[in-house]
Amino acid sequence: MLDKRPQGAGLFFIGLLLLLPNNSSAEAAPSVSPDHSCQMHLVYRSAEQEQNQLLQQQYKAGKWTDPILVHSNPTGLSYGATMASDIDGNILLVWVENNGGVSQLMYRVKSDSGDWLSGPRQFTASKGEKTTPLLMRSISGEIYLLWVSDENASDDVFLVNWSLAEGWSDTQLLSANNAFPDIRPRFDYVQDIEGSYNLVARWQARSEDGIYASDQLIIETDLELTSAQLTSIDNCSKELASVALPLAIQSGFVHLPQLGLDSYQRIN
Amino acid sequence: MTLAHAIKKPLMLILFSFLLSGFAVSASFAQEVKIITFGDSLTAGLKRDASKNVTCPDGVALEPGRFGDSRMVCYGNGAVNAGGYQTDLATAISDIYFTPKIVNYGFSGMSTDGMLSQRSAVLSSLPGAQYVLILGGANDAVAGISRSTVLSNLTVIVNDVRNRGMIPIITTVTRNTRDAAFDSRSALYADDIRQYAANSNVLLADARAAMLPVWGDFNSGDGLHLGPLGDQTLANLYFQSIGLVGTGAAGKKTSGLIAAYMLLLLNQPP
Repeated sequence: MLDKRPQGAGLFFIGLLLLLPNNSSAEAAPSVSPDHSCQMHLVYRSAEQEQNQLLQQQYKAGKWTDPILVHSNPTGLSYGATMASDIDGNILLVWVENNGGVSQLMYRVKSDSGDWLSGPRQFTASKGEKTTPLLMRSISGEIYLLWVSDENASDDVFLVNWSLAEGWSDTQLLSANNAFPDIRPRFDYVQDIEGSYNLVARWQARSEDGIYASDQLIIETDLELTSAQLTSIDNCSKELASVALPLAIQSGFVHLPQLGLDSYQRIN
Repeated sequence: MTLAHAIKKPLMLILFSFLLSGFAVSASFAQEVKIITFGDSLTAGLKRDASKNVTCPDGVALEPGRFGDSRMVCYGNGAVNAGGYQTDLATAISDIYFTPKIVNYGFSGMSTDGMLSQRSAVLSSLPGAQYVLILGGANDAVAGISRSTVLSNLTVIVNDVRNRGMIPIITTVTRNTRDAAFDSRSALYADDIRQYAANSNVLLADARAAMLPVWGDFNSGDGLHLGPLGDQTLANLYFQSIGLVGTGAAGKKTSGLIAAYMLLLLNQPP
Protein backbone atom coordinates (compact mmCIF):
# COMPACT_ATOMS: atom_id res chain seq x y z
CA MET A 1 0.00 0.00 0.00
CA LEU A 2 1.20 3.50 -0.74
CA ASP A 3 2.02 5.59 2.30
CA LYS A 4 0.06 8.70 3.05
CA ARG A 5 2.25 11.71 2.45
CA PRO A 6 2.09 15.20 3.91
CA GLN A 7 0.36 17.96 2.02
CA GLY A 8 1.75 21.41 1.13
CA ALA A 9 2.09 20.81 -2.56
CA GLY A 10 2.88 24.45 -3.40
CA LEU A 11 5.93 24.74 -1.18
CA PHE A 12 6.99 21.24 -2.14
CA PHE A 13 6.76 22.17 -5.80
CA ILE A 14 8.86 25.31 -5.37
CA GLY A 15 11.38 23.33 -3.37
CA LEU A 16 11.66 20.74 -6.09
CA LEU A 17 12.14 23.37 -8.74
CA LEU A 18 15.14 24.62 -6.81
CA LEU A 19 16.41 21.15 -6.06
CA LEU A 20 16.09 19.61 -9.49
CA PRO A 21 19.13 17.70 -10.63
CA ASN A 22 21.18 20.61 -11.84
CA ASN A 23 22.90 19.00 -14.76
CA SER A 24 22.23 18.62 -18.43
CA SER A 25 21.81 14.86 -18.06
CA ALA A 26 18.18 15.20 -17.06
CA GLU A 27 17.55 16.68 -20.50
CA ALA A 28 17.38 13.27 -22.09
CA ALA A 29 13.82 11.92 -21.72
CA PRO A 30 13.66 11.39 -17.97
CA SER A 31 11.30 8.89 -16.42
CA VAL A 32 9.96 9.49 -12.92
CA SER A 33 8.15 7.03 -10.68
CA PRO A 34 7.26 6.65 -6.98
CA ASP A 35 8.36 3.59 -5.01
CA HIS A 36 6.33 1.66 -2.41
CA SER A 37 6.68 4.50 0.10
CA CYS A 38 6.09 7.28 -2.44
CA GLN A 39 9.73 8.27 -2.68
CA MET A 40 10.36 9.56 -6.18
CA HIS A 41 12.92 7.97 -8.49
CA LEU A 42 14.31 9.38 -11.68
CA VAL A 43 15.91 7.41 -14.53
CA TYR A 44 17.37 9.05 -17.59
CA ARG A 45 19.89 8.53 -20.33
CA SER A 46 22.95 10.67 -20.01
CA ALA A 47 22.93 13.55 -22.46
CA GLU A 48 26.59 12.84 -23.00
CA GLN A 49 25.61 10.97 -26.10
CA GLU A 50 28.88 9.20 -26.65
CA GLN A 51 28.61 7.61 -23.22
CA ASN A 52 25.05 6.27 -23.47
CA GLN A 53 24.65 5.75 -19.77
CA LEU A 54 21.39 5.07 -18.03
CA LEU A 55 21.41 6.82 -14.67
CA GLN A 56 19.15 6.81 -11.63
CA GLN A 57 18.58 9.35 -8.88
CA GLN A 58 16.24 9.36 -5.90
CA TYR A 59 14.54 12.29 -4.20
CA LYS A 60 15.38 11.60 -0.56
CA ALA A 61 15.30 13.79 2.52
CA GLY A 62 14.62 16.90 0.49
CA LYS A 63 17.28 16.49 -2.18
CA TRP A 64 18.31 14.37 -5.13
CA THR A 65 20.85 11.66 -4.43
CA ASP A 66 23.93 11.38 -6.62
CA PRO A 67 23.38 9.56 -9.93
CA ILE A 68 23.81 5.79 -9.86
CA LEU A 69 24.84 3.99 -13.03
CA VAL A 70 22.13 1.54 -14.12
CA HIS A 71 23.61 0.52 -17.44
CA SER A 72 26.25 1.54 -19.92
CA ASN A 73 26.50 0.58 -23.59
CA PRO A 74 28.99 2.64 -25.60
CA THR A 75 27.84 1.24 -28.94
CA GLY A 76 24.07 1.38 -28.49
CA LEU A 77 21.26 3.49 -27.09
CA SER A 78 19.29 2.94 -23.89
CA TYR A 79 16.01 4.79 -23.53
CA GLY A 80 12.32 4.58 -22.65
CA ALA A 81 13.01 3.53 -19.05
CA THR A 82 10.14 2.51 -16.80
CA MET A 83 10.21 1.61 -13.10
CA ALA A 84 8.12 -0.10 -10.45
CA SER A 85 8.83 -1.23 -6.90
CA ASP A 86 7.43 -4.21 -5.05
CA ILE A 87 6.06 -4.03 -1.50
CA ASP A 88 9.55 -4.78 -0.10
CA GLY A 89 11.05 -1.82 -1.90
CA ASN A 90 12.90 -3.76 -4.61
CA ILE A 91 12.97 -1.67 -7.75
CA LEU A 92 12.54 -3.18 -11.21
CA LEU A 93 13.81 -1.12 -14.11
CA VAL A 94 13.02 -1.94 -17.74
CA TRP A 95 14.23 -0.05 -20.77
CA VAL A 96 14.68 -0.31 -24.53
CA GLU A 97 18.17 -1.17 -25.70
CA ASN A 98 18.89 -0.35 -29.32
CA ASN A 99 21.94 -1.93 -30.89
CA GLY A 100 22.48 -1.33 -34.59
CA GLY A 101 18.84 -0.44 -35.18
CA VAL A 102 17.47 -3.49 -33.34
CA SER A 103 15.42 -2.69 -30.22
CA GLN A 104 15.13 -5.16 -27.35
CA LEU A 105 14.00 -4.90 -23.73
CA MET A 106 16.47 -5.06 -20.87
CA TYR A 107 15.89 -5.14 -17.12
CA ARG A 108 17.71 -4.70 -13.87
CA VAL A 109 16.63 -5.10 -10.24
CA LYS A 110 17.83 -3.07 -7.27
CA SER A 111 17.12 -3.84 -3.63
CA ASP A 112 15.72 -1.35 -1.15
CA SER A 113 19.22 -1.03 0.30
CA GLY A 114 20.67 -0.12 -3.09
CA ASP A 115 22.33 -3.41 -4.09
CA TRP A 116 21.92 -4.66 -7.64
CA LEU A 117 20.18 -8.03 -7.50
CA SER A 118 20.10 -8.97 -11.18
CA GLY A 119 20.75 -7.84 -14.71
CA PRO A 120 21.19 -5.94 -16.84
CA ARG A 121 19.74 -8.67 -19.01
CA GLN A 122 17.60 -9.02 -22.07
CA PHE A 123 14.46 -10.97 -21.30
CA THR A 124 12.42 -10.87 -24.51
CA ALA A 125 12.76 -12.99 -27.63
CA SER A 126 15.12 -11.42 -30.15
CA LYS A 127 12.64 -11.52 -33.03
CA GLY A 128 10.98 -8.19 -33.81
CA GLU A 129 11.37 -4.63 -32.58
CA LYS A 130 10.35 -4.01 -28.95
CA THR A 131 8.98 -0.60 -28.01
CA THR A 132 7.13 1.39 -25.32
CA PRO A 133 7.60 -0.75 -22.20
CA LEU A 134 5.39 0.25 -19.28
CA LEU A 135 5.61 -1.09 -15.72
CA MET A 136 2.94 -0.90 -13.06
CA ARG A 137 2.51 -2.21 -9.53
CA SER A 138 -1.15 -2.92 -9.02
CA ILE A 139 -3.00 -2.29 -5.80
CA SER A 140 -2.88 -6.03 -5.14
CA GLY A 141 0.92 -5.84 -5.25
CA GLU A 142 1.50 -7.52 -8.61
CA ILE A 143 4.04 -5.97 -10.96
CA TYR A 144 3.01 -5.99 -14.61
CA LEU A 145 4.84 -5.02 -17.75
CA LEU A 146 3.18 -4.07 -21.03
CA TRP A 147 5.10 -3.54 -24.25
CA VAL A 148 4.72 -3.60 -28.00
CA SER A 149 6.53 -5.91 -30.40
CA ASP A 150 6.23 -6.43 -34.14
CA GLU A 151 7.58 -9.98 -34.00
CA ASN A 152 4.34 -11.18 -35.67
CA ALA A 153 4.77 -8.78 -38.63
CA SER A 154 2.69 -5.91 -37.23
CA ASP A 155 2.82 -4.42 -33.73
CA ASP A 156 1.05 -6.32 -30.95
CA VAL A 157 0.67 -5.70 -27.23
CA PHE A 158 2.24 -8.16 -24.78
CA LEU A 159 1.93 -8.61 -21.02
CA VAL A 160 4.07 -10.29 -18.44
CA ASN A 161 4.30 -10.10 -14.66
CA TRP A 162 7.33 -10.20 -12.42
CA SER A 163 8.31 -10.93 -8.85
CA LEU A 164 11.69 -11.16 -7.19
CA ALA A 165 11.03 -14.74 -6.15
CA GLU A 166 9.49 -16.04 -9.36
CA GLY A 167 11.11 -13.83 -11.97
CA TRP A 168 9.21 -13.32 -15.22
CA SER A 169 5.99 -15.16 -15.98
CA ASP A 170 5.16 -16.49 -19.44
CA THR A 171 4.52 -13.79 -22.01
CA GLN A 172 0.90 -13.22 -22.93
CA LEU A 173 -0.25 -11.74 -26.24
CA LEU A 174 -3.12 -9.37 -25.46
CA SER A 175 -4.06 -7.91 -28.82
CA ALA A 176 -5.47 -9.70 -31.83
CA ASN A 177 -2.78 -11.28 -33.97
CA ASN A 178 -3.78 -9.58 -37.22
CA ALA A 179 -2.14 -7.43 -39.89
CA PHE A 180 -2.95 -4.12 -38.16
CA PRO A 181 -0.83 -2.38 -35.53
CA ASP A 182 -1.72 -2.31 -31.82
CA ILE A 183 0.19 0.44 -30.06
CA ARG A 184 0.39 2.77 -27.02
CA PRO A 185 -0.33 0.35 -24.18
CA ARG A 186 -1.36 1.69 -20.78
CA PHE A 187 -2.95 0.58 -17.54
CA ASP A 188 -6.27 1.74 -16.24
CA TYR A 189 -8.56 1.08 -13.32
CA VAL A 190 -12.18 0.96 -14.31
CA GLN A 191 -14.85 1.13 -11.64
CA ASP A 192 -17.84 -1.14 -12.17
CA ILE A 193 -21.44 -0.34 -11.19
CA GLU A 194 -21.01 -2.08 -7.82
CA GLY A 195 -18.11 0.16 -6.91
CA SER A 196 -15.26 -2.32 -7.18
CA TYR A 197 -12.42 -1.84 -9.63
CA ASN A 198 -11.06 -3.80 -12.56
CA LEU A 199 -7.49 -3.34 -13.69
CA VAL A 200 -7.37 -3.26 -17.48
CA ALA A 201 -4.69 -3.01 -20.10
CA ARG A 202 -5.69 -0.58 -22.83
CA TRP A 203 -4.14 0.09 -26.19
CA GLN A 204 -4.89 1.66 -29.55
CA ALA A 205 -5.82 -0.89 -32.20
CA ARG A 206 -5.93 0.01 -35.89
CA SER A 207 -8.89 -1.33 -37.77
CA GLU A 208 -9.23 -2.30 -41.42
CA ASP A 209 -10.46 1.18 -42.34
CA GLY A 210 -7.23 2.69 -41.05
CA ILE A 211 -8.53 4.30 -37.87
CA TYR A 212 -7.21 3.69 -34.37
CA ALA A 213 -9.66 2.92 -31.58
CA SER A 214 -9.23 1.90 -27.97
CA ASP A 215 -9.19 -1.80 -27.14
CA GLN A 216 -8.74 -3.42 -23.72
CA LEU A 217 -8.43 -6.60 -21.70
CA ILE A 218 -9.13 -7.06 -17.98
CA ILE A 219 -6.10 -8.14 -15.95
CA GLU A 220 -7.51 -8.13 -12.41
CA THR A 221 -11.15 -8.04 -11.36
CA ASP A 222 -13.21 -7.14 -8.27
CA LEU A 223 -10.57 -5.04 -6.55
CA GLU A 224 -11.91 -3.40 -3.42
CA LEU A 225 -10.31 -0.07 -2.62
CA THR A 226 -10.71 1.50 0.79
CA SER A 227 -11.05 5.24 1.13
CA ALA A 228 -7.67 5.25 2.91
CA GLN A 229 -6.09 3.59 -0.12
CA LEU A 230 -7.71 6.04 -2.48
CA THR A 231 -6.53 8.99 -0.36
CA SER A 232 -3.03 7.61 -0.16
CA ILE A 233 -2.90 7.09 -3.94
CA ASP A 234 -4.24 10.56 -4.51
CA ASN A 235 -1.63 12.12 -2.23
CA CYS A 236 1.17 10.21 -3.88
CA SER A 237 -0.10 11.29 -7.29
CA LYS A 238 0.18 14.92 -6.19
CA GLU A 239 3.76 14.42 -5.19
CA LEU A 240 4.46 12.66 -8.46
CA ALA A 241 3.00 15.65 -10.28
CA SER A 242 5.15 17.99 -8.20
CA VAL A 243 8.26 16.18 -9.36
CA ALA A 244 7.15 15.51 -12.92
CA LEU A 245 5.99 19.01 -13.76
CA PRO A 246 9.30 20.83 -13.25
CA LEU A 247 11.08 17.97 -14.98
CA ALA A 248 8.75 18.33 -17.92
CA ILE A 249 9.35 22.08 -17.97
CA GLN A 250 13.07 21.55 -17.84
CA SER A 251 13.37 18.76 -20.36
CA GLY A 252 10.35 19.28 -22.60
CA PHE A 253 9.08 15.76 -22.01
CA VAL A 254 8.96 13.25 -19.20
CA HIS A 255 7.90 9.63 -19.07
CA LEU A 256 5.40 9.07 -16.30
CA PRO A 257 4.27 5.84 -14.74
CA GLN A 258 0.81 4.58 -15.43
CA LEU A 259 -0.42 3.86 -11.94
CA GLY A 260 -3.96 3.42 -12.97
CA LEU A 261 -6.44 5.60 -11.22
CA ASP A 262 -7.83 8.73 -12.79
CA SER A 263 -5.96 10.91 -10.32
CA TYR A 264 -2.74 9.60 -11.79
CA GLN A 265 -3.80 9.91 -15.38
CA ARG A 266 -4.73 13.54 -14.95
CA ILE A 267 -1.03 14.23 -14.48
CA ASN A 268 -0.50 13.36 -18.11
CA MET B 1 -11.02 34.85 -98.65
CA THR B 2 -7.31 34.68 -99.34
CA LEU B 3 -4.93 32.49 -97.47
CA ALA B 4 -3.37 35.60 -95.94
CA HIS B 5 -6.71 36.65 -94.58
CA ALA B 6 -7.46 33.16 -93.29
CA ILE B 7 -4.35 32.97 -91.13
CA LYS B 8 -4.26 36.64 -90.12
CA LYS B 9 -6.70 36.43 -87.25
CA PRO B 10 -5.17 33.41 -85.51
CA LEU B 11 -1.69 34.89 -85.94
CA MET B 12 -2.81 38.14 -84.42
CA LEU B 13 -4.39 36.32 -81.56
CA ILE B 14 -1.24 34.36 -80.90
CA LEU B 15 0.91 37.48 -81.15
CA PHE B 16 -1.37 39.37 -78.84
CA SER B 17 -1.36 36.54 -76.34
CA PHE B 18 2.43 36.31 -76.36
CA LEU B 19 2.70 40.03 -75.86
CA LEU B 20 0.27 39.78 -73.01
CA SER B 21 2.17 36.91 -71.43
CA GLY B 22 5.39 38.84 -71.79
CA PHE B 23 4.17 41.51 -69.38
CA ALA B 24 1.99 39.54 -67.04
CA VAL B 25 -0.44 36.73 -66.77
CA SER B 26 -3.51 38.13 -65.12
CA ALA B 27 -4.88 36.42 -62.05
CA SER B 28 -7.96 35.31 -63.93
CA PHE B 29 -5.82 33.42 -66.43
CA ALA B 30 -3.38 31.91 -63.94
CA GLN B 31 -3.98 28.28 -63.11
CA GLU B 32 -4.60 27.61 -59.44
CA VAL B 33 -2.34 25.07 -57.78
CA LYS B 34 -4.11 23.60 -54.77
CA ILE B 35 -2.03 21.85 -52.16
CA ILE B 36 -2.89 20.31 -48.80
CA THR B 37 -0.06 20.22 -46.29
CA PHE B 38 -0.56 17.60 -43.60
CA GLY B 39 1.55 16.76 -40.60
CA ASP B 40 2.78 17.84 -37.19
CA SER B 41 4.41 20.99 -35.83
CA LEU B 42 6.93 20.96 -38.69
CA THR B 43 4.02 21.44 -41.05
CA ALA B 44 2.31 23.93 -38.75
CA GLY B 45 5.49 26.01 -38.86
CA LEU B 46 6.25 26.03 -35.13
CA LYS B 47 9.53 27.67 -34.17
CA ARG B 48 11.19 27.00 -30.84
CA ASP B 49 14.46 28.57 -29.90
CA ALA B 50 17.17 27.20 -27.65
CA SER B 51 15.41 28.75 -24.64
CA LYS B 52 12.23 26.85 -25.57
CA ASN B 53 10.32 30.00 -26.56
CA VAL B 54 7.63 29.04 -29.05
CA THR B 55 6.42 31.26 -31.89
CA CYS B 56 4.03 30.55 -34.75
CA PRO B 57 4.19 32.11 -38.23
CA ASP B 58 1.66 34.79 -39.19
CA GLY B 59 -1.74 33.23 -39.77
CA VAL B 60 -0.97 30.12 -37.72
CA ALA B 61 -2.73 29.80 -34.37
CA LEU B 62 -0.89 29.58 -31.04
CA GLU B 63 -3.03 27.31 -28.85
CA PRO B 64 -2.69 24.93 -25.89
CA GLY B 65 -1.58 21.50 -27.09
CA ARG B 66 -4.31 19.06 -28.04
CA PHE B 67 -2.34 15.82 -27.88
CA GLY B 68 -1.07 15.53 -24.33
CA ASP B 69 1.03 18.68 -24.44
CA SER B 70 -0.41 21.47 -22.33
CA ARG B 71 2.13 24.01 -23.55
CA MET B 72 1.23 26.62 -26.16
CA VAL B 73 1.94 25.26 -29.63
CA CYS B 74 0.97 25.95 -33.25
CA TYR B 75 -1.94 24.68 -35.33
CA GLY B 76 -2.44 25.36 -39.02
CA ASN B 77 -6.23 24.99 -38.81
CA GLY B 78 -6.47 25.20 -42.60
CA ALA B 79 -4.76 28.60 -42.91
CA VAL B 80 -4.07 29.45 -46.57
CA ASN B 81 -0.52 30.17 -47.76
CA ALA B 82 0.55 30.56 -44.13
CA GLY B 83 3.07 28.60 -42.14
CA GLY B 84 6.79 27.96 -42.21
CA TYR B 85 7.64 26.45 -45.60
CA GLN B 86 4.19 27.16 -47.02
CA THR B 87 4.87 30.86 -47.52
CA ASP B 88 8.13 30.10 -49.33
CA LEU B 89 6.39 27.50 -51.47
CA ALA B 90 3.57 29.93 -52.26
CA THR B 91 6.11 32.53 -53.34
CA ALA B 92 7.94 30.04 -55.55
CA ILE B 93 4.69 29.02 -57.22
CA SER B 94 3.57 32.63 -57.67
CA ASP B 95 6.92 33.43 -59.26
CA ILE B 96 6.08 31.14 -62.14
CA TYR B 97 2.63 32.68 -62.58
CA PHE B 98 0.50 30.04 -60.97
CA THR B 99 -1.87 30.95 -58.17
CA PRO B 100 -1.05 28.92 -55.08
CA LYS B 101 -3.64 27.83 -52.60
CA ILE B 102 -1.76 25.94 -49.93
CA VAL B 103 -3.73 24.94 -46.86
CA ASN B 104 -1.92 24.27 -43.62
CA TYR B 105 -3.06 21.28 -41.61
CA GLY B 106 -0.13 21.04 -39.26
CA PHE B 107 -1.08 19.69 -35.83
CA SER B 108 1.64 20.16 -33.23
CA GLY B 109 2.26 17.01 -31.23
CA MET B 110 0.50 14.73 -33.70
CA SER B 111 1.90 11.29 -34.48
CA THR B 112 1.14 9.26 -37.57
CA ASP B 113 -1.63 7.33 -35.79
CA GLY B 114 -3.30 10.67 -35.00
CA MET B 115 -2.89 11.69 -38.64
CA LEU B 116 -4.93 8.65 -39.62
CA SER B 117 -7.83 9.83 -37.49
CA GLN B 118 -7.69 13.31 -39.02
CA ARG B 119 -7.02 12.31 -42.60
CA SER B 120 -10.58 12.10 -43.84
CA ALA B 121 -11.40 15.63 -42.71
CA VAL B 122 -8.09 17.02 -43.93
CA LEU B 123 -8.09 15.33 -47.33
CA SER B 124 -11.63 16.46 -48.09
CA SER B 125 -11.00 20.04 -46.94
CA LEU B 126 -9.86 21.44 -50.28
CA PRO B 127 -11.93 20.27 -53.26
CA GLY B 128 -9.85 20.05 -56.41
CA ALA B 129 -6.54 19.81 -54.55
CA GLN B 130 -3.83 18.32 -56.72
CA TYR B 131 -1.11 17.58 -54.18
CA VAL B 132 -0.87 16.47 -50.56
CA LEU B 133 2.43 17.07 -48.79
CA ILE B 134 2.80 14.52 -45.98
CA LEU B 135 5.30 15.01 -43.16
CA GLY B 136 4.93 12.80 -40.10
CA GLY B 137 7.02 10.73 -37.72
CA ALA B 138 8.80 13.24 -35.49
CA ASN B 139 6.37 12.66 -32.62
CA ASP B 140 6.33 8.92 -33.23
CA ALA B 141 10.06 8.97 -32.59
CA VAL B 142 9.51 10.61 -29.21
CA ALA B 143 6.69 8.20 -28.34
CA GLY B 144 8.85 5.24 -29.34
CA ILE B 145 6.50 3.92 -32.00
CA SER B 146 7.99 1.11 -34.09
CA ARG B 147 9.28 1.55 -37.62
CA SER B 148 6.77 -0.94 -38.98
CA THR B 149 3.80 0.96 -37.55
CA VAL B 150 5.00 4.40 -38.70
CA LEU B 151 5.50 3.17 -42.25
CA SER B 152 2.20 1.31 -42.19
CA ASN B 153 0.37 4.45 -41.03
CA LEU B 154 2.00 6.60 -43.71
CA THR B 155 1.12 4.00 -46.33
CA VAL B 156 -2.55 4.21 -45.37
CA ILE B 157 -2.45 7.99 -45.83
CA VAL B 158 -0.63 7.78 -49.18
CA ASN B 159 -3.12 5.22 -50.48
CA ASP B 160 -6.05 7.32 -49.32
CA VAL B 161 -4.62 10.39 -51.07
CA ARG B 162 -4.22 8.42 -54.30
CA ASN B 163 -7.70 6.94 -54.03
CA ARG B 164 -9.07 10.49 -53.84
CA GLY B 165 -7.31 11.38 -57.10
CA MET B 166 -4.57 13.53 -55.59
CA ILE B 167 -0.81 13.18 -55.76
CA PRO B 168 0.94 12.41 -52.47
CA ILE B 169 4.42 13.68 -51.74
CA ILE B 170 5.97 11.92 -48.76
CA THR B 171 8.73 13.48 -46.68
CA THR B 172 11.57 11.98 -44.67
CA VAL B 173 11.60 12.91 -40.99
CA THR B 174 14.08 15.65 -40.19
CA ARG B 175 16.51 15.46 -37.29
CA ASN B 176 15.89 15.73 -33.55
CA THR B 177 19.24 16.44 -32.00
CA ARG B 178 17.75 17.08 -28.58
CA ASP B 179 18.05 13.39 -27.89
CA ALA B 180 20.14 10.77 -29.66
CA ALA B 181 17.45 8.13 -29.13
CA PHE B 182 14.84 10.23 -30.91
CA ASP B 183 17.27 11.14 -33.67
CA SER B 184 18.22 7.53 -34.16
CA ARG B 185 14.58 6.50 -34.50
CA SER B 186 13.75 9.27 -36.95
CA ALA B 187 16.78 8.25 -39.04
CA LEU B 188 15.41 4.72 -39.25
CA TYR B 189 11.96 6.03 -40.19
CA ALA B 190 13.62 8.10 -42.93
CA ASP B 191 15.37 5.02 -44.32
CA ASP B 192 12.04 3.20 -44.46
CA ILE B 193 10.28 6.15 -46.12
CA ARG B 194 12.96 6.41 -48.83
CA GLN B 195 12.69 2.73 -49.60
CA TYR B 196 8.91 2.81 -49.61
CA ALA B 197 8.81 5.85 -51.92
CA ALA B 198 11.16 4.18 -54.37
CA ASN B 199 9.32 0.86 -54.34
CA SER B 200 5.83 2.38 -54.53
CA ASN B 201 6.52 5.16 -57.01
CA VAL B 202 5.63 7.88 -54.52
CA LEU B 203 7.12 11.35 -54.92
CA LEU B 204 9.69 11.95 -52.19
CA ALA B 205 10.96 15.11 -50.52
CA ASP B 206 14.09 13.90 -48.74
CA ALA B 207 14.21 16.68 -46.17
CA ARG B 208 16.45 14.76 -43.79
CA ALA B 209 19.14 14.19 -46.39
CA ALA B 210 18.95 17.79 -47.62
CA MET B 211 19.44 19.24 -44.15
CA LEU B 212 21.62 16.58 -42.58
CA PRO B 213 25.09 18.05 -43.13
CA VAL B 214 24.51 21.38 -41.39
CA TRP B 215 21.43 20.78 -39.30
CA GLY B 216 22.44 23.58 -36.96
CA ASP B 217 21.75 26.07 -39.76
CA PHE B 218 18.37 24.57 -40.60
CA ASN B 219 16.64 24.26 -37.22
CA SER B 220 15.09 27.00 -35.14
CA GLY B 221 17.45 26.51 -32.20
CA ASP B 222 15.80 23.60 -30.39
CA GLY B 223 17.33 20.90 -32.58
CA LEU B 224 13.94 19.79 -33.86
CA HIS B 225 11.86 22.47 -35.56
CA LEU B 226 12.75 24.24 -38.78
CA GLY B 227 14.19 27.73 -38.93
CA PRO B 228 13.91 30.05 -41.95
CA LEU B 229 16.59 28.21 -43.93
CA GLY B 230 14.97 24.88 -43.13
CA ASP B 231 11.59 26.19 -44.33
CA GLN B 232 13.15 27.50 -47.51
CA THR B 233 14.91 24.20 -48.19
CA LEU B 234 11.76 22.17 -47.56
CA ALA B 235 9.72 24.50 -49.78
CA ASN B 236 12.29 24.06 -52.53
CA LEU B 237 12.19 20.26 -52.20
CA TYR B 238 8.42 20.25 -52.50
CA PHE B 239 8.56 22.72 -55.39
CA GLN B 240 10.90 20.42 -57.27
CA SER B 241 8.72 17.38 -56.49
CA ILE B 242 5.62 19.14 -57.79
CA GLY B 243 7.53 19.59 -61.04
CA LEU B 244 6.68 23.13 -62.14
CA VAL B 245 10.29 24.19 -62.08
CA GLY B 246 12.57 24.99 -65.03
CA THR B 247 16.28 25.46 -64.78
CA GLY B 248 17.50 28.54 -63.00
CA ALA B 249 15.52 31.65 -62.17
CA ALA B 250 14.97 32.66 -65.79
CA GLY B 251 14.08 29.11 -66.71
CA LYS B 252 11.52 28.97 -63.95
CA LYS B 253 9.76 32.05 -65.22
CA THR B 254 9.93 30.95 -68.84
CA SER B 255 8.61 27.48 -68.17
CA GLY B 256 5.94 28.93 -65.94
CA LEU B 257 4.87 31.36 -68.62
CA ILE B 258 4.77 28.66 -71.24
CA ALA B 259 2.84 26.38 -68.93
CA ALA B 260 0.40 29.14 -68.04
CA TYR B 261 0.02 30.01 -71.73
CA MET B 262 -0.61 26.39 -72.66
CA LEU B 263 -3.22 26.13 -69.94
CA LEU B 264 -4.82 29.31 -71.24
CA LEU B 265 -5.00 27.87 -74.76
CA LEU B 266 -6.36 24.60 -73.48
CA ASN B 267 -9.04 26.40 -71.55
CA GLN B 268 -10.27 28.36 -74.59
CA PRO B 269 -13.56 27.24 -76.11
CA PRO B 270 -13.13 25.42 -79.42
